[in-house]
Amino acid sequence: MAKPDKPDNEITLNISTSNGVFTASFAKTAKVSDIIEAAIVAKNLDRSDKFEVFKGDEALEPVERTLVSFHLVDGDELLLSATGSGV
Amino acid sequence: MATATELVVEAELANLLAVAAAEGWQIKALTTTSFLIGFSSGSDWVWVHCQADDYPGLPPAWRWTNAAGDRFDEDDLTPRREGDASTFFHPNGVICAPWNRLSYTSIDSRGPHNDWDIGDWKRNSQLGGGRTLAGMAIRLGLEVRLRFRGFRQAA
Repeated sequence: MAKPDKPDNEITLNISTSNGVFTASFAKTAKVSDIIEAAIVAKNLDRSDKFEVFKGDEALEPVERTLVSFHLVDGDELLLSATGSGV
Repeated sequence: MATATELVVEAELANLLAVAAAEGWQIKALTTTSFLIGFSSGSDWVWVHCQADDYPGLPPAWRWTNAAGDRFDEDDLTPRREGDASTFFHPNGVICAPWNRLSYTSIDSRGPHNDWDIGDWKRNSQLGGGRTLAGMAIRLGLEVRLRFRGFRQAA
């Protein structure tokens, strides 16, 4: 059976986290902060950490910007990292 | 029968392997509690040896190595600290973070920190997400990707 088409206003992202890889669909108008929140919940990450999201070398900041404003496309691989710890 | 450490490492390594596949890192398993991880930076590969015996009671020991894992912390294997280079690339040659056993002076004389409690390492305020092997590797991988400027000495 053919899978139902994904709405045009959504993209699926693969997000590497400290508790493994997390794949989810987001509205293109969702914010980077929404990715962080979804990953915290789905992968049981520690809320006391401060997180950054990277696409390759690019930090997706500020986190209140929308996904579409960073030109993310379906299937993009992102990396979620807690900040700090090199001391 | 597997030890508690081996079970934890096995479970966490599964997550790390998934992240490594997504990020293009190389993982070479050595024993049930040790492995090599390679991070690419341009034409260079930066290799780190992880020894996780007694983990998670103690943090793993992470040290610079080569692709074969048979040389450690030599200048042609150790990233140099330059400009905005990461504080991970410490002048003492150790990866300086609460999740690296070698950061503790009580373990390694090069370890800069005699002010950290290794028995309470997961509650160190500077842990920065390094609660799992994948979390530690993510921090290392990012530092190499963003701030690696070459080794202390050419190979």
